[in-house]
Formats: sequence, C-alpha cells, structure tokens
Amino acid sequence: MRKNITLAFALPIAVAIGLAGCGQDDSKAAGSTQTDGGSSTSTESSESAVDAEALSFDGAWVKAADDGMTAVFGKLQNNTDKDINLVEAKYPDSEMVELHETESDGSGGMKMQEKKGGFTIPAGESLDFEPGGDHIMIMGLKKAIKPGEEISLDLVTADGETVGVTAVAKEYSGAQEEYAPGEAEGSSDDHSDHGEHGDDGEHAGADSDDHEDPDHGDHGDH
Amino acid sequence: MPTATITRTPITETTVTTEPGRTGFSRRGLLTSAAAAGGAGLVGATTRFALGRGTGSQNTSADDGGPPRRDLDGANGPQTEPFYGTHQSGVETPPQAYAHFIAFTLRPGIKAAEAVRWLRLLTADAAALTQGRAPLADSESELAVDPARLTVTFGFGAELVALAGKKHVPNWLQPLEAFSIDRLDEDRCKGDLLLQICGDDPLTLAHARRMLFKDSRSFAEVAWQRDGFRRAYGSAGEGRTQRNLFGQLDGTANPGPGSEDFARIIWGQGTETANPVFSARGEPPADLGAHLPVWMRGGTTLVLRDIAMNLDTWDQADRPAREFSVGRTVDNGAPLSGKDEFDVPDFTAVDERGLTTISQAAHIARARDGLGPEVQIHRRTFNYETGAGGDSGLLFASFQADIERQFLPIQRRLAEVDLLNEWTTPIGSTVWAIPPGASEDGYVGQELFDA
Repeated sequence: MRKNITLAFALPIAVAIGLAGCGQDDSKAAGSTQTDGGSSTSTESSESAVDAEALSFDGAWVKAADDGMTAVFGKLQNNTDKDINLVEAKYPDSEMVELHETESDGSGGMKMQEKKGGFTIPAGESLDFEPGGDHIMIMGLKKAIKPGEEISLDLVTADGETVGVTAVAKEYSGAQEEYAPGEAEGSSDDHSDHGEHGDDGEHAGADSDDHEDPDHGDHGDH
Repeated sequence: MPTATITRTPITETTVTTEPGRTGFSRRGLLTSAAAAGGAGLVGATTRFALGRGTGSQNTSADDGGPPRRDLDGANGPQTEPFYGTHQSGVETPPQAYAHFIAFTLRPGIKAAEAVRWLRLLTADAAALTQGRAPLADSESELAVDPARLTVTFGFGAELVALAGKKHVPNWLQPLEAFSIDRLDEDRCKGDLLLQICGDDPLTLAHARRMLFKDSRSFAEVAWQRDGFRRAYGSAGEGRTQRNLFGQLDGTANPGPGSEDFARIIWGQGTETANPVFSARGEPPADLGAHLPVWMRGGTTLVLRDIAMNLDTWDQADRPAREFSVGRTVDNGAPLSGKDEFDVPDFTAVDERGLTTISQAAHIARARDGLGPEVQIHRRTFNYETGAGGDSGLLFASFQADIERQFLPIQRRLAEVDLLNEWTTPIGSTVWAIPPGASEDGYVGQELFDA
C-alpha cells in the first residue's frame, strides 16, 4: 500500500517558504532513508477510477517552473457522504510528488513538510491547497511547466482509487519553496542541487559532502 | 477632439429609463435578463439612452423630490458587465469612468502554441475579474471583488494574427495612411495585442491590469500604456454625452447601444429586426462587416488615436470661436443651426448676413456633411492629462466594421480641413482587429487559431 510506504519512509525534507525560519524539529527530516524516490512507480496497477463526481479539484493551478520543484494548488472537494483520504498524487514528468502541509515555526515563518498519512477530506467538505498552506509538491521536474500549460495529475485515495485532474500553469512569484531553507538565512551551503531531488543517491551524496552531522541532514547548519 | 458628427437616432429618445437609485429595478437584473434574452448586443438597449436629456433627475433623491442623496451603499461595486458572448464587452458597453489601454509586443520566439496559452490565460483572468472573482493565482484576491462594471476588451495586431497564418491577416490591419496633421510618436504606434480595460473603480482597474500584466510577462513586453477617464460613476446620469478637456460634449453622434444602427455600423451586420429605426443620417448598409475574415465574425475594428489637445492655446479662443470651430454650442452641444444637442445639423441654414450658420470648415460639417449613411463610427473616448501644465488629450477609440469605408473618409476630410486642428494633434495611432467574444470554455481569438 502506498500509504504505508509513505508512512514508513518519512521523507527527509522540510520545505520552507519565503523567509521561513525553517524546521526546528529536524528529527523529522533527518536521515536520507528514502529509497524509493517518492514512488512514482505505482504498485496499484488495477486502480479503479472513482466516480468523477466523488472528488473534484476546482480552481486547480500549478506554479510554472522550468525545472526543479513546483507546487499545485486548488480546492479539493469531497462530493460524497464518506470521508476521503488522499494519500498520493502522481505527476509523470517529475521524479517525486508529495502531499505537503504547512506549520508555523513559531517565529513568523512557515515550515513545509510531508503530510503523514495524507489528507482526509471529510464527507461533503473541501480542502484548500494554497500558497503558504497545504499543497501538492512536485519535485525533480523532468520538463518545464510553461505558463498557460495544462498539466494532468492523478490523485490517489487510501482505497487505491485514482482520479485524474488537471491544473493550469500560472507564472507566480510566491510559493518559493526551497529544499534548503538554510539558504534563506545566508547559509553558505549550496543546496541548489536538492531542487532536483528524487535521485536519492545524489541526495545522499550531497548530504555527506556538505554536512558533518548526518542526523540533521539539510538542517545541519542550525 | 470635438463633439459629434452625426445625430442620434430618434428611438433613443423614446426609451428613457431612469437609473434607479436605491429603489426600483436593479441594473444587474436588467443585464441578466438582457443577456438571457440573447447576448451582449442587447445589453443596455433599454437602460441608458437619452438619460442625459431625460426629464427626471438621475440623482438618488428622496421620494419627496428633496435634495440629492449620496449613495452610501456601494451600489455600483457589484455591477458586472458580461464577459462571454457573441461580442466582446467594452465596445457597445456604455463607457465606464476609467480606461487603461495597454499594448504588448510579442517576445521573440513566440509562436502560435504560446500565443494560445497566453490568450487562454488572459481570457480566464478577464472572465473571472469582470465578474468580481479572483483569477487563479491572484495574490491580492480581495481586490477582485467589486468589479464596478469592469470590462476587458482584446484587440489583435497583425503580428499576433500572423502567428495563426499570414493568410488570416486582413489587409487593413496595418498602420493608417499618413495624414498631414499627424505628429506621431512611433512608440505609441506599435503593439501586437491590446487590452482595453475599463471600469468605474480605479482600484479594481489597477488590480485587473496587474493580473493581466503578470500573465503576459512570459509572452510579451509592454509596448505602451495609456490611462483615460471620464466623469466618475454617479456624477452624471449615465447615457449623457461626456465632455472632453476642451469642455465640449464628445460623442453626441454615437449610435446608441442596442440600436439597429449600432449593429450595422459597429458589428457590421443588421439584426433583421422587423421595423428598424435609423438616425437622421439614413440607413446604413446591413453588411458593412461582410469583408471581415470569418474568424472576426461578431467582432469589429478599432482605430485608437492618441490626440493631444493644447489647453493653453485653447484658452486663447473665446467661446464664439470655440463654437464656430466645432459648429456646436459649448453649453448643450446643440448644432449652431438648432437648439438641442440631438437636433440634426442643418448645413444649409444661413444667418442674417447670408452666411451658413455652421461653417463649412467647422468640425461637424467636415466630419459629416455630404457623407453617406455608412460613414459613421462609434467613438468611445477617454480623456487624459498628466497634471497641471502637462500633457492633455483624448484617447480616441473609434469602433467601426470597416475602416476603409467608415473611418477613413471622415479622417481624410478632417485632416484636410477642420478648424479644430488648430488645437489638436494626433500623436499616437494604432489599428486593431477586435475578435468576437469568447464562448464559455473557449478563449478570445479561438476562431482565429482554430482556423
């Protein structure tokens, strides 16, 4: 089950937005134990599409990007009378997609991190994905997403069901999500290559090169 | 620029409705029903002719006829003009208080696929903003509320059209011929896409322009931009002819929105209504738009002239000279041969000395006398000034189905002789194809790029 995989391999990523003070709870982000590259390879080959009306993604848009990472926003609407647990999103032209939540770091900054267990949208309710808040994070773009382009994603529920959605790309200066929040505070470490995250071998290599304290991964400079 | 060239059709004088203040029908209701009845072309048909010369006050007044009261409810903020429809809004739409004109030049390497992406983005933005909704990725979404009759009108230049294939570029889509009166600044004479953004609220407009600009940056650079204004909403009854910075009524001769004249003169096609009523100019042909390429059906053409007005030398002209130069009075815009603004000018009338009451060199005589009923335009003008002692003038947006048959005959005559030329100077000039309105799920220009 994809859900279990996600839980088992808590990702080594704390994504900061803007001038985020970046993660203090580094333990959550520590350790590059991620080995399946975010699993864009699905094990559920016999997914059944859910009723198109059951889950809708309204006002969906994605921040245009040439490479690296980007994020998808919109309103996810549960049109059924049962809770829906969104556990995964898939975008084929990337190396990894994650569901991210945002937490205040207590000092005016916001911290991005993977939402463990995914998002539960209660029956009949909706969930807003928006800059500075919850969102779908796309990492390791394999090709540019140009302004005005419409991309297709698959949303996967805990039941293993998949619903295809589209999002239009908009040029947008906000939602500046970086893999290396330390940079926002003037860290001399160059984490730019982490923007291509998804190649875990490279990721691990970079960590070992850059950080003396492997337990703190990207946040070793704090 | 001066006042009118043509006389308003009589029907406009019989369809007076008063703008409701806080009682009576709502304008939104009218718009909705008009749209339901068959499209943007009908909008306004019943609402705003002749309000200016109507009987009652357009002010919000107490039931006992007491003094005017201010609108404290923000009644105009939620007002919307339609976006989707047969025609684009912002042409037949009664002019709003403010206008931003912004022209873009395509970035190198932009091809049809990119242009379509751009037009889809702009269409989605405009569709949302004009209805008071924030477009996708609007980081100041609160500024999208209160559209206050926001409209966004797209105009295509030759380079943009050519991306869909050179064969789609009509031969008139190029700079106008040179006129002796022109003193054109070439920086005001270019552009591949024009957005005419109009509305009654300048803050809403600023936000709309910013959104549209942000979604254009990847595809184009700003070629030029100009801002204009008319009376603020609520200052005068809607439908009144606006005044320009010379103090003249400006637009008296315009065909009224919703009229058969408008359909023929601007949209280039008669409505086949049973008993059409035309202005004193006579019956315009019903097929003035027949020459337009198929992708433009439902569209029209725009000639946008940036006309500098010299207020300093105008100050030297006293009222008799001002009225003589135009052929109309300043106070109510009546032709010098008549009494009321909408009286038909009599170019044969003579005074006690035997001279024509309206000089043959006066603006309205040059713009109108002897020209056929097809030689009419719809001028949708906005004033501009850059501050005391600065530049001032008129953004002269002229809509017509056929530039060669309708605009140029007038322009050529005015360039030849027009007393007003003493004070006015064209400094910018662009020509635009106005495509039809978008259908829902479509985008402005789809007929072109699908062709």
